[in-house]
Amino acid sequence: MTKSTDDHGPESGRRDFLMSAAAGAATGAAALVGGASAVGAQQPETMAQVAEAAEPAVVDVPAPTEAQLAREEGNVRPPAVTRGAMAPGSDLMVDVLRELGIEYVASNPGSSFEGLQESIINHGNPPNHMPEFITALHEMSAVDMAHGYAKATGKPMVALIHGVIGLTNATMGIYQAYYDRAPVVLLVGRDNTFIQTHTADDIAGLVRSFTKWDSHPTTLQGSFEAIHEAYNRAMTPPCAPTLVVLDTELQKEEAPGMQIPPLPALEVAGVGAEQAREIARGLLAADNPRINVGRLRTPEGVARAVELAELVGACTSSRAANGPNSFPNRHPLCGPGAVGEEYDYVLGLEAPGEQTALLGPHIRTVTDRDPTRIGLGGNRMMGRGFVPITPPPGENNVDVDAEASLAAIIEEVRRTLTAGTSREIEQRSASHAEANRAATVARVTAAAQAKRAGWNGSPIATARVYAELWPLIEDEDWCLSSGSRFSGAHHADLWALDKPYSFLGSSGAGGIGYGLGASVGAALAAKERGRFVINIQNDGDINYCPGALWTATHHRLPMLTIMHNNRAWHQELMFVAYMTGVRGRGTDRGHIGTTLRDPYISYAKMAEAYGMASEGPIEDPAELVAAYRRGIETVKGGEPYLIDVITQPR
Amino acid sequence: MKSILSGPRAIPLAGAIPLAGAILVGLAATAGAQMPMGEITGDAETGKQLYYDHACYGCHGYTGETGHQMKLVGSGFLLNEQTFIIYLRLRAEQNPILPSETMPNYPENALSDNEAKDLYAYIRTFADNAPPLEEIPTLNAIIESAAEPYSP
Repeated sequence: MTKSTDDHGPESGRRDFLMSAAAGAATGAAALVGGASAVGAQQPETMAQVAEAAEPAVVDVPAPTEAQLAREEGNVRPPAVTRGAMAPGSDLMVDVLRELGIEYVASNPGSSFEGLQESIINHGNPPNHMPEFITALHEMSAVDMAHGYAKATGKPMVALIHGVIGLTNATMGIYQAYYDRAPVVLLVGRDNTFIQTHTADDIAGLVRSFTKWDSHPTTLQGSFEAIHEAYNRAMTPPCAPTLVVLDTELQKEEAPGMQIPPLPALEVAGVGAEQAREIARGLLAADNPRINVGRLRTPEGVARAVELAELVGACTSSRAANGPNSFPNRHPLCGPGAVGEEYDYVLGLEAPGEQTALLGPHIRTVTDRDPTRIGLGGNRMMGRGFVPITPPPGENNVDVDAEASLAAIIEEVRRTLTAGTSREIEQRSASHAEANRAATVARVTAAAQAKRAGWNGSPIATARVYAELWPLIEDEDWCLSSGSRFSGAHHADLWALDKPYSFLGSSGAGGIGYGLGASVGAALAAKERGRFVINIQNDGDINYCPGALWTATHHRLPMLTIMHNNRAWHQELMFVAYMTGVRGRGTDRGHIGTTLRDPYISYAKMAEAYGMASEGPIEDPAELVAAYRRGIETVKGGEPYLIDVITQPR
Repeated sequence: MKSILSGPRAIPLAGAIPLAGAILVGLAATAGAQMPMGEITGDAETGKQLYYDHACYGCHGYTGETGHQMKLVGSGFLLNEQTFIIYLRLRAEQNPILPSETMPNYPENALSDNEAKDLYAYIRTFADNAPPLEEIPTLNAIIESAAEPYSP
């Protein structure tokens, strides 16, 4: 159920805005930061400016009430009499989240969801658990955390966001999650009776172009159903952020005896029985079948893809070096295989396939929500880790989710597999394994030869930053959380990426500022799963929302951050340097506006300020391993650690 | 107008001089050949500062070893001071000839001939400092790891 109108029409909305502007400038806003004396000093001039700018409607602007001002200033005393027994609607909202398996709610506090926040931290046994309230220092961080968590687990956590101003801060994170097909549930608080500049008739409209679905329920029952639907729609391909607006009064509404509705099943359509039979037949009849594996939705999908490849003895491709949930890249079947590239049946799972390509619906199909074409415009250029999202033309493309199709295909393969075919498959698999292993060793050896360049240099070569990590983590359970493109992506050449979460890929839309928040989200996922996160952190990126360092410290998250500190927004340095050359007007000034020097930033001290153990800057590559050991020991003990490394530009 | 690059960073081709193109292509064609390198007349210390000031390090690393590596041996552009200067100038004054969006152009008003020679002198100090693979235990451990049986 969605509210289409409320008490405030356009005209009253305008008056409310002016009231708020007047109040904000004249009393309220100044009082928020400056206290009463500041208000008195600023009032006449500011009021005159406001009145001039706002004529003629400003004459109707009422002053904010004492209660409003007191509340905004935090001078609200608890009521003299409190109720001993309550059954607030927000408790039931928390129950809904718990039933959905939501582990965390990341949020920067706001004055439109105190009801829900209070329920999260106090309702349940134990309280503040499933979900746990995660304190974010910026709304973009909160969404980035949910984004990183979703890629590490294949399921949503919640970002709880304050009305208009909080959602505006969050937009960048939402935009990136949208492009990255990350299932994220956004709950947005709305208080229509309080600060008018923090509310809107259609708050979700701010981000409609890059969310998949939204709802503004007007009843408690409607809110439970909306949260259910938000979860299921986020998880249904094309996976994307969904949003539910929760009015503050709804959160506080008493709901004695009310029950939450049963959770509707999550249903994702796969291929039909006949198509599954055809695919199974093709794979089993082929002398040398191949399965191209792109990015699947969840770790379960990866397990199914492995099961199918092993069943039919197909060699595979993988996009594990580009992002999560693809085929393990050191699996014996991953590689060109023994018979070369003469494949007589190629199945694509979210990837091209000559005979059959199962390609789930893309977010570009959600066209009715994007009048600005912001989403559609970007989708022309990018998708899943900078791969053009438009599937190659092919009459054998099937517009159906690959992961949801695997169970039926596997069942058909198992049903029709004969003993004779099994023997052939076993032999073929052994040949593939031998060939792929040799190919992997050759590829890694060639990469190692190339990575020697600048090995002992200072600043430290990015290849060495990655290489020195591998011997220390190869027997550990880890997750490389942040994008690697700007730091050389050496993991792709040197590391085994055998878990669905080995590498979480890039930000989705190429925006900067995602890495740290996403790494915190991945570390939230890692915390209860016995693994730790490695965040090779770009210096330009960390400066957008460094407060996420505090979140990692406060919540004791196993996150090892290694700074790729090249002291620049390096891509832009190169672009500007290039342009100065093209125009012939001073190539020695390309650093202006593109570098982080004078002064240099100390990331070890930044981390220390947020309470995080840290060291650096390290400029001597011989010191890396010892620092890594200290860092890994710390994160395995359940605390974050940061190592500042001065690196070569790329 | 024709463009030498495809995509958003395409460069107008108008004004390109075929002769310049031919020279650059000729220089490029010498890549891989083992030719004696020319005399150095510039000052490497001054060149080091120029290398930094003009953001050469941005693409080639602080020692020419990382990113777009500078390979002295076999590079036609780095054969001697004149080929180096021609390379810089032609790209600048005749519009970029080679399809590159990573190498800026250096006209004389941005980098004089003498400065280019200093820069060249510094570049010539670059050595192949990469240790032999067998002397890097970490990289050998990575190769050994790649040969190990799969154990997710």
